[in-house]
Amino acid sequence: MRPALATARVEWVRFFRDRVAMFSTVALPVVLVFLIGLSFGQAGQQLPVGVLSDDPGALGQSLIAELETSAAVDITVYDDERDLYRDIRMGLLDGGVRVGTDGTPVEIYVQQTSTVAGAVLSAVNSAAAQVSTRAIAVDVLSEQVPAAQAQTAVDRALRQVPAVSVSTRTLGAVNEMDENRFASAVPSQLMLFTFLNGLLGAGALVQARQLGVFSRTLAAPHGLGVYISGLGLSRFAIAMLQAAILLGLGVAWFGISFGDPVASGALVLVYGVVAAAAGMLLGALTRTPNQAVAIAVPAGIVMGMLGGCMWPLSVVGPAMQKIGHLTPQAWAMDAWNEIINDGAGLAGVATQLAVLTGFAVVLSGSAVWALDRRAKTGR
Amino acid sequence: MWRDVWLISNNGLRRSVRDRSILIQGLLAPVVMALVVGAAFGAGFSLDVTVGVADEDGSQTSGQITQGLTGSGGGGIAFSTVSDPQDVDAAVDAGIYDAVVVLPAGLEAAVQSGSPAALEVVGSATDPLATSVAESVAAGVAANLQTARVTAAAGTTASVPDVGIAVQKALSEPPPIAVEQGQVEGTFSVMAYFAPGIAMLFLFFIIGNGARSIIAERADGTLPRILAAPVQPASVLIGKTLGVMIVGVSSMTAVWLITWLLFGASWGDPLGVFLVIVAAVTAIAGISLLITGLARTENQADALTTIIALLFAVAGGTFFYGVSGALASIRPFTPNGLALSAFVDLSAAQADVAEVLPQILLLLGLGIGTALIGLAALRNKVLA
Amino acid sequence: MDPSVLQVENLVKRFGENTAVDKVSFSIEAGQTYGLLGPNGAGKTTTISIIAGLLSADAGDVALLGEAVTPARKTLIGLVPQDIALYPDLSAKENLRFFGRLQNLTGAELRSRMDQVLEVVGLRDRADDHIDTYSGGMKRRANIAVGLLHEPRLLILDEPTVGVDPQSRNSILEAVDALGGSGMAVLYTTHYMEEAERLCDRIGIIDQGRLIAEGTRDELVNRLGEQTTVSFRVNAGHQTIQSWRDELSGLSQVTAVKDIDSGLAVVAARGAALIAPAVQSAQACGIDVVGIEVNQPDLEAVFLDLTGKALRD
Repeated sequence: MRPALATARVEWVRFFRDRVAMFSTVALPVVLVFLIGLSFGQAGQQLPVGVLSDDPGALGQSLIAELETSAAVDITVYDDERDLYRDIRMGLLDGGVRVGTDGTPVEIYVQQTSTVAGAVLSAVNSAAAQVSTRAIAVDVLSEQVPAAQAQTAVDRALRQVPAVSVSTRTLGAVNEMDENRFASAVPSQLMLFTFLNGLLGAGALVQARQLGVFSRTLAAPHGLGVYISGLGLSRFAIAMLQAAILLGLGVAWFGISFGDPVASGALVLVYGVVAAAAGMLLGALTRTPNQAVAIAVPAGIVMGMLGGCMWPLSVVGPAMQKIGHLTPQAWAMDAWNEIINDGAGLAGVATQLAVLTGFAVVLSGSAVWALDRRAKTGR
Repeated sequence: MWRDVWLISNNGLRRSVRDRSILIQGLLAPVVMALVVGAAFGAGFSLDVTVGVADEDGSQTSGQITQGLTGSGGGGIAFSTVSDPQDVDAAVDAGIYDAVVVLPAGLEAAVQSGSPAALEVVGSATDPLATSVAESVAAGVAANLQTARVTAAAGTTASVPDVGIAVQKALSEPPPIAVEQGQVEGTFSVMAYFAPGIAMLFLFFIIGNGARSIIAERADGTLPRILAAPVQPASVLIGKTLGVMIVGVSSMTAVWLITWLLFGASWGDPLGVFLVIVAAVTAIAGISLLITGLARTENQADALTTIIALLFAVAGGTFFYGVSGALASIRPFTPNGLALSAFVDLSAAQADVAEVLPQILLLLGLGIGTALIGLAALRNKVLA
Repeated sequence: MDPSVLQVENLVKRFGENTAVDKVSFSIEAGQTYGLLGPNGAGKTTTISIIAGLLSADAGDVALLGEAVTPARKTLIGLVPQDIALYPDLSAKENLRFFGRLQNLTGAELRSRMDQVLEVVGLRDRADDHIDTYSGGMKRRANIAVGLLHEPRLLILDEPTVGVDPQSRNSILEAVDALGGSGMAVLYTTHYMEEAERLCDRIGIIDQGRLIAEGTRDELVNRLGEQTTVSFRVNAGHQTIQSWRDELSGLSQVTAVKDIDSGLAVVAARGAALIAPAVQSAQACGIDVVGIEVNQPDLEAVFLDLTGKALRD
């Protein structure tokens, strides 16, 4: 144990001398958590819809005003048709509404493949009905009495008759990770960067191999396994530092509750081992430190994307969810969901922890095997 | 002079082609990441909301409303009658309906008498969008009911001969605002956003490495050896810069062609795309030269490049598709964000070259400006 | 008379307070190999860098075939830097092609020159392999090949045998030895006395930026006359050695006594005859002599004589 600790200590010190490593593993995730938390509102409450206000008349203006209060859509007013179309094509808007002069029809635009047309249509129709009460009433009454008489009567009725109201009742509690963007940003960035940092440990391993530190260590009585666990241990320690900073920030600054401390603690520990082991495996398989880093960064990001660190896996299709669960990230994010949203304890995340432990065993076993082979073949 | 420039840049290119890291970062990473994003979001956002209609009133009016709603729907919303109106909450909890519009008992009576009336929407906290959609539907129903009873009240006041007919007409008359449905022509793939964004992030690493190689070659002795040949010192710097830029433009162009021709993600007007690629690479090369020129050591240049690349990528929107607030407003001040806005104009807004010219010129100006300062500093540093 | 291939006059280069090259003058004729011999940090590489146009001099002149070195005339020089100045990720051929083109070689001429130099340095078999797969000695030889490629009139070799195994070193020295015959002028820097003795027609001894002696090997050695250097290694403290030193200086025929590592060196006309009285006086001073070395005059002795210190510190 002591030689492993000694190796870990040296790597730990080297890490703290390396300001880039400090920046990208400690400061960057914090910056990202802030940016994500501040830049995205509560997701999934309303459909973003653009309104192109094309010289609307009085009726059109009241329609726009009514849409602003609509529950289903979140309105942004555009004055350039092309900007509206661009944002619809990009999916930044689920639909667009062109409101022209009174008498011209209101047009609704959606993407060719869009499935939200019905919701947008219903929202516009609803708003149209709300602003048409007076006009319709006057219209139908004018068929039987003079228009002036009908108008006076309708205006009086509008003042006297109480509105038909709508009240809403919601069942159950809001998911914390849905309600508070920081509550999802903290665990997802933590899982992303813990793994990235673990993979970057490969660079240190290859470097050690090249410098001959490796063969010197092999010559020492304790052998390979000790050295690798030492190197892995230092990466694991950095992962724990990341977790302490990000989770601490989440609790102290954003007031997030990370659920059962035993469950979340176990998750952070096991995942830290998985990440460190993945880095050791990459370090065993690559030839130069540059190559290791060149693979580590994209690999960490791609696995983060697949595993639900960049966006929740619930928004992608079933096939992508299955593929995503080939990564440890997806299992870890599932566990966070259980812990934070559903208040699960250790037993509630037992499956995820077991899978992650499996990842750790397979990855570290492969790493030791590959390094041992390298040592024996002298490459 | 230009022969030497070409020789030196060509030598750099030859070495880059051998460098597997460049292949990974410059080609593989952006293409794979764009494909992952494309696979995750290629189908676009899909809405699938089932709204239940619970008729607790059992009146003629509530029956008509129920019939009207269940007969409509489509385009992401489906309506269905709640079979057991007494147990709405259980049905929503069980997920049979995403939300339910309740027509409460006494609705017809209240509407006809002109006394206060209310519709109720029951939704689940975990599906706020479905609740909002149901609310909007209910608001439309409420507005129709309100029109009917305003007509009835006004008809009575105005002594209209047949109030009943007027109310029936009011209920069936379409609003004076006609609604038509149109489509936005042309499609857009999210890959056309993420591929260039991610490519630019990794270009910072590739081009930064290239710029730093000028310092490294001085230490290795190859630069002195080149300078001992009958070569203008300026052509060494220009040749190195050119080589690095050709690598950058080629890798990004390859990412473009692969995502476009193989995976069908059109980036828009080809001439415009190519010019934006050249402008973006120029900007990145200029910034890399500036960093290399001003850094005290090669390690410091490496560190600064990594940090600046990551900051620009984050601030420039590489990983975030469509944001508002602070992040959106700093975007145009990063070269990545500026180039991304040009790429989006070309792909999603179907702009032509002329319309992205401002971004192209800004990027080129930024690139040339920073490159000149960087090269001047490098000249003093490595050629002294 | 034809001008010398290289004429260096009163070269001065300062780095801040430190004068790295101090009024150095020498010349090299065609076919001649000139050795610049001196310890590390003596100013050899700085001198070379100025000649090759990599550094500008603060004062003094460098003339190549009687004219100043302009960028276009750099092609007359072949520089072999002390570092392995090659691209490790390219093959020897690719390195040669690149640097050859920079020297304006093209086409068939370039190809035939590449074949020739690869033959000279004995790397024909490995010419297509990347440099980073070479052994240290092979890298050195490839490094030299690039300098020879464009048939320069002046070849500058900066410590070409540093860190090379004896076998490679020998083949490098043989190659350099053969170059003199081709009419090329060679400027060879080294801190190995044996190399300078073996290869160089003329030798300049440089120390602390100054050329302190110059001539053929024999001219330099003759400065010492027929004198022999006897080095005594002893087991004693500094104080005792100093008192012994006074004794030794008094012996007949002794011309100089110098401090060396753990002992004293005595320069005398007939050194061997000196051993017995010197050991006796040592015993008288209570000093144990643990080793005695008798050296016939050589460059090492010249350097010792001129600077009071050994060449290889």
